[in-house]
Amino acid sequence: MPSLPDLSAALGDQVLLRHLQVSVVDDAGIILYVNDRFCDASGYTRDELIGQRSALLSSGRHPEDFFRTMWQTARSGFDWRGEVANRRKDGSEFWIELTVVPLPGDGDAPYCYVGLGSDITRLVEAEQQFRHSEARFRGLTETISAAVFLHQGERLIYANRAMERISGYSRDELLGMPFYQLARPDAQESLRARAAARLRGEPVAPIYEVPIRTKGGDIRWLEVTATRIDYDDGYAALGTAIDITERRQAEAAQRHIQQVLQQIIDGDPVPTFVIDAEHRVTHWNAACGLITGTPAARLLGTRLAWTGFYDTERPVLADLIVDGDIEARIDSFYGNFYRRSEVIPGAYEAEGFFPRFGTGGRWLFFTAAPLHDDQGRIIGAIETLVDITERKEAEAALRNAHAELETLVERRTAQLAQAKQALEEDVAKREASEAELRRRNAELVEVNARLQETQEQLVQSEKLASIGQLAAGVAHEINNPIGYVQSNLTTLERYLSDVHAVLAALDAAAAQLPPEHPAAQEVARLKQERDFDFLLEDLPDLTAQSQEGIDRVRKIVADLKDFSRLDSGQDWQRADLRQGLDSTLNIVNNEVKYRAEVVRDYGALPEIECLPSQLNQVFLNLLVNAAHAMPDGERGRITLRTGHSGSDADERVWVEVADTGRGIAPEHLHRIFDPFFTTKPVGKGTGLGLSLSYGIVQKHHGQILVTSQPGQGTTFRVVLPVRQPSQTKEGTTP
Amino acid sequence: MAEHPLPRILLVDDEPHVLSALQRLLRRELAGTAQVEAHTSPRAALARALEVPFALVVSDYRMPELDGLAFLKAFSELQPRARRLMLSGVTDFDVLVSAVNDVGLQRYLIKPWDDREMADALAAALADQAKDEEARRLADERRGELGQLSAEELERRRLEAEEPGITQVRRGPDGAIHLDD
Repeated sequence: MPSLPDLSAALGDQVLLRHLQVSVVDDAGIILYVNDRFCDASGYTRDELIGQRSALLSSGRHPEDFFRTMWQTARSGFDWRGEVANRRKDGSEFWIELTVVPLPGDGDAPYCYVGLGSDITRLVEAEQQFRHSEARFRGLTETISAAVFLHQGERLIYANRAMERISGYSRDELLGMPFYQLARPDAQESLRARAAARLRGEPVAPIYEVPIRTKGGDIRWLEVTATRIDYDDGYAALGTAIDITERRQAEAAQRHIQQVLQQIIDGDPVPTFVIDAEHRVTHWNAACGLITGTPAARLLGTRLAWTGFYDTERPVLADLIVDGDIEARIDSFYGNFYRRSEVIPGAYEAEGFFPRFGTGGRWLFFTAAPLHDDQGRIIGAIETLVDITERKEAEAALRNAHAELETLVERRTAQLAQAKQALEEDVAKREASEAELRRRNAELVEVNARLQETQEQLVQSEKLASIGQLAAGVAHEINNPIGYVQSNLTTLERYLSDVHAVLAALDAAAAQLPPEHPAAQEVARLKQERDFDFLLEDLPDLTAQSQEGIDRVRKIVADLKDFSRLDSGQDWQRADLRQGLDSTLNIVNNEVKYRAEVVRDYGALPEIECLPSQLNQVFLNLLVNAAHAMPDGERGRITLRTGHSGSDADERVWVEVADTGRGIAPEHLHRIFDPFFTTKPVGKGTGLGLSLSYGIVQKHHGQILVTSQPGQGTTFRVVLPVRQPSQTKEGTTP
Repeated sequence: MAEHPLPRILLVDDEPHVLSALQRLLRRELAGTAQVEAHTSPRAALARALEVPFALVVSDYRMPELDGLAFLKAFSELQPRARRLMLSGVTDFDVLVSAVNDVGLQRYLIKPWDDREMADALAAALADQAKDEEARRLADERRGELGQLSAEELERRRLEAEEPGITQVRRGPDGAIHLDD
């Protein structure tokens, strides 16, 4: 048993131990010896450490069990090894890998214990760093749906949540088992061998499919992508796996379908063949072989589908579909005997006659449809054949029957055409008569309208006629007194001049008498008394005024007759409108003179062909309206103007009646010629005046124009042709 | 035939004032060239026409007994050589037409008349009539000289001229002479 100093010397001299932190403690844990390295690492001096309990350096990180286990192991005479976190004098932590070696003492219990520590602080920190990034790695891998796992050839050392989900095992369960145990038993060995090879760095396929058995016993297929990574001074296999069970099932189903399809096509009594995108025949069923006389064995895998039908090379319908340019080429191969399928998109139907088949040849009806992959690309075409020979023959028979029928129909059609023509003529006649009827109706409507207008005129003319008759009768009666009064007045004037002459003689005779003569005195007295000088002087005035009065009466009566003109039978005649205006003015003077001053501004006017009395009525209406247009209590002005324009057939005259009255509101302007339209108070106007005037002017082939400025006045202008068309006069002469 | 009596003018109008006015006018204008007679009754005028010859007759149209046309027509049968004029306020076209066509009117004068026009018209008519009469008288004389007219016929014409209708004696079935109708 060496003494402690010996031990110290022995330990201190050991070059190999210089890099280790060496300490010696007794059974009670009291530090007996520390080397320099220990002092450097802990930050304590040797004096501060010797005699202290080793617990001085404890970081408190380890549980009590940890050191208890250490002491029990060492006291039992066994070496103890572990990683220990110690605390320096300054409070910071450092990690050592500590090996405790018990040195045997005198009795059973060891004499002392030698601790050999190497600093692993950096390692631990790296590990912590690694753990930290591992945590991040886990966070990442936990969230992805693919299963992620890590192993080093045996036990799984990492598995993410997706792995749990796919396998049905919990993470703890997974981390306890070798990775290959997850595989279906028959696949476990090959999986293990593959992983081992990968970890050895041998080239192994990075992606493979493997069946696993889940905790529930189901078989699921995983597609695994694995790679070798550096791990803990060695290698690990990092794998991701996705569950492809459904895909595999679908693929299996597909294979199944293909098998079924094969069986269907082969067993189908309908002759059917299929070519792929390269025009290679992939199916040629028994029925097809039968009808074409070409067995499947000769065609499968070749591009010779056409040989089943034709003697010389040409594409069949399926070939055209596969080529994708069927639209452009089908005409040249099938003429009129093809059409687009109404039920299958992209499919075509065609028919043809094949003298090679059967006895006397067969008619075949083809249907070819494209086969697409899931991207829509044409990957082949399927074509079926139907023997339509019988149908064709039936059709031919039908055609014959049809032809016979057609001749019959043609005969009947001819008969029908005749009947139709007759009918059409009938219809045409009826249409014509309908049109005629419509025309007549339109005429009737127009005639009716004219009749109404005429009726209105008639009513007015009737009134006028009675006035005229009255006037004529009155005129006759008045003309008698006018006649003799007027004549008498002329005579009276003559008489008076005679009387003057005689008086002059008498005066001369009387002058011969002496003034005192009683006769002379009597004459002078009488003359004085009777104001004889004035009398003589006044007589010419008296007769002249009487003449003037009777002349005026005569004119009024003449105008009255003029106006009515009943005696002239309303003949078209040539007349000067100015006279008509004047006589009309005389008639209405009473109505007008208190309301307006009348200004005549006549221009030269030729006589025109007209119905003067009717035109006079127009003027009367215009004049009366003009007078009535004057605001109450104001005396306005009415200006009458005449003029003429044009020459020969186009020669026209115009008469204008312009007033300074209230004017016509714009909204009334277009209605003023409407029958019964009036703005005068009830009872003041019939509303017929202007419409009647309008009718009269129209009868004269003239126009009546109006311009009006509310508040300023209104101007009516009547424009009339100088000569009437010949039929006008004939038509209305009584 | 030493002395020619003044030609007679017959005025007929139911309005006496018209007649007197006309008489005044004619007395003044035609003094010494014609005698004027006036009747308010057309019948009376016709009766008078049986008594004396008239160079002119001027009639109104509208009269209560007989209208001017009927009167002038009757008058023209009695004295066809008298010039017929009408003076009326009536200017009916129909009246005018029948006055010209049926009555052979020389002139239609309108009431109220113009004195000057009236006087001139009557003077012209008178002159016209006088010229005709003179031509006729000369022709008769010439025919007498040539023996184409008997003295008896000449006398008859003379009498007829002075007393119209005197030669046309109407007898009743019993031989009585009708002097009135």
